[in-house]
Amino acid sequence: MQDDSSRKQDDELIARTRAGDATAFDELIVKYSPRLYGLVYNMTSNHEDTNDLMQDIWAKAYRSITGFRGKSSFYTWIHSIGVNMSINFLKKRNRRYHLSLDDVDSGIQNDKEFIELTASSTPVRDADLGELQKRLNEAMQKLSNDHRAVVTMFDIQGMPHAEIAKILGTSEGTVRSRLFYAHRQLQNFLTEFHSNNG
Amino acid sequence: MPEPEINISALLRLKRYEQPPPGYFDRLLQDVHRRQRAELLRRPLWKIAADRVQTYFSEHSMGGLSYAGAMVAVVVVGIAGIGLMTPEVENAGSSDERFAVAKQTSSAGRLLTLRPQQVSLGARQPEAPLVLPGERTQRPPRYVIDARPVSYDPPSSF
Repeated sequence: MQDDSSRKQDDELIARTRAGDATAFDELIVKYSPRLYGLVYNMTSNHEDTNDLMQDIWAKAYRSITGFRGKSSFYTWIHSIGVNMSINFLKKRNRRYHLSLDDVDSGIQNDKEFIELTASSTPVRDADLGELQKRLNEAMQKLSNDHRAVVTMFDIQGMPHAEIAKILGTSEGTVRSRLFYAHRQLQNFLTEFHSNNG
Repeated sequence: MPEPEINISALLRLKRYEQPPPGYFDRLLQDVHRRQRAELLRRPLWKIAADRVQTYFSEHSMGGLSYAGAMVAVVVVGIAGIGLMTPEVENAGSSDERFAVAKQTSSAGRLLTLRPQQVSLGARQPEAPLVLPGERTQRPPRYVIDARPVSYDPPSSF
């Protein structure tokens, strides 16, 4: 997931942060925020909540960086903080969620998978993609927090099973099992939606 | 006819395109800075003081041995201070001794027991009566004879 040079660079930035160089920590924020944002946003499905959580996560990371022993990469460490804080937040939050697909990047139009999905003979072709994505987000919210975390990291962020297992502090088998169950649930929900609209 | 399967993984991958508004990450950096400053202001005074002490020592590049030396000095000064403030050890020993003697006295039917110190020439002050825990305070009256030496010489002040 992360090459050696990137890890070395992180180690250096962490050392500088510990020595009191605030700009080094800024570099870590800039480097990891886009991926972290994707994780938190797909867990919460809400931009405002994601923004609040992002600040909480980085503030906590800054406070705890002296305790970072380097057993795992910074990438794994910051994602662990992100997942745990998101799950804690979701436990407290009511099941309210606001889905905003207005911010979908225009790059999606050129995506190979998007073209295939909309061109081939699948149920997706008939449904409005925006509507389908909305339903997909709703289906995601029906998953348990643990299942949603696994789907987010594997399917959306493209992390390998081993990395997810490290972040969640569980076994790869558990990750695979959660993934299988979550996919089945999502499949059922979307098929039902398609049948009702077909 | 069964429903065709939806490619969930492919659909989920499209969610990568859900991005925050432009300029979001710059604002996030500013927000994090603001948050860090606010947290610094909310910190308790003792923590700020501890940090300053730590920074002071780190700025003067003191090694671990220096810390150990300083700690030893503090401990020595502390022990010396405590030693100066506590009463002499001899007194404590004699009170224990007294306690033991009194205990014997009590168990032996309050027979008079004299210790060498009590009959020594220098001992002029009568010792305070001992009261043991649980012992009744009612005792036979004790008559104290004036210990001033009697002189038959006429006083020189006349």
